[in-house]
Amino acid sequence: MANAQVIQVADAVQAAVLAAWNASASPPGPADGVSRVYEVPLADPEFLEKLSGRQVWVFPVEYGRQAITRGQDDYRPKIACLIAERCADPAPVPNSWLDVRTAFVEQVVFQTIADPRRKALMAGLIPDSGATVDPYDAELLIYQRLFLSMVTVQFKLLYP
Amino acid sequence: MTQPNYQLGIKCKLFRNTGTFGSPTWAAVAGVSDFTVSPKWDFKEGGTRASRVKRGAKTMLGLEFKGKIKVDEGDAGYLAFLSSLHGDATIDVMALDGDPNDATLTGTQQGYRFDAHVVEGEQPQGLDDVLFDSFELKPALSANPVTSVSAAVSAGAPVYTYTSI
Repeated sequence: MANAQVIQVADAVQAAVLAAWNASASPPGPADGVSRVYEVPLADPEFLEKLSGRQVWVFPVEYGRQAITRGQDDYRPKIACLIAERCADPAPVPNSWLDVRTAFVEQVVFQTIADPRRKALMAGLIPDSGATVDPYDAELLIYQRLFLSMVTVQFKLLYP
Repeated sequence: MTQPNYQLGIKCKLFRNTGTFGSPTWAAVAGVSDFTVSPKWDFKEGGTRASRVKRGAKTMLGLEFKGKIKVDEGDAGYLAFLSSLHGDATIDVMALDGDPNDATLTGTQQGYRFDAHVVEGEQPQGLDDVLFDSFELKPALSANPVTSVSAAVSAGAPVYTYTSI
């Protein structure tokens, strides 16, 4: 059985973000990664303690169905990307460190998956308006020294 | 399955004839979204002293199909509409209130058939739009009659009866 459409979209997003990161001026290092996941135990202190490198986690969020013609549906899949990295430096997290991460979120993740002018990530897939970015989570930054940003994109998926 | 006592718009069909008028080959136009069949008679009053009720007669039938079709260069139906919009070519079209090729269905469907001009092709191009053309099909001055259509459907094998209006 083929994967669900929403999972195929999440896989396409994962592949596109990885390709954009590889093509960027700062490609991923050995500890970095982009993966499609169902859950991440962010509330687990042990997990956070072991977290290394910059991680992009791609989640399927929801999908629905809307008839667009008599023979074709729009599945409307929604995908979220969590971008996480722990700051190893002691004391306050430097602005310059955060600037690099927020730029990565915008230029490598957001612009890659939320721009309808770009080549479609898969056949029939179009980013809809209303993509949103939570630049960072202040509480996690202060108490866990964790940069955590979320990019959520609503797509149109014309099927079949 | 016998025909249910309701019909769904998503299952309705707009066909175009790719054969001849006498031996039609009906090809469904796949990219149709909203669609409306609009028959409306002109009504002229002809009251007399015989009655105080305003009475009259139907004179001319205004018949048109209106709808939206997805812009798709790979859809032969869309290209036929576009060609008719740009020129004077007519399309032999038939709209039915169901799918006559539904192999699970036994029943009757109704509609209209005429040689049509495509007289409108408005295309909103909003930043967030999947493109559709609004279209309006009107009967052309053709040698072929405008007909109502009754389709007797039995396990995907429709038998069409065309009645001139």
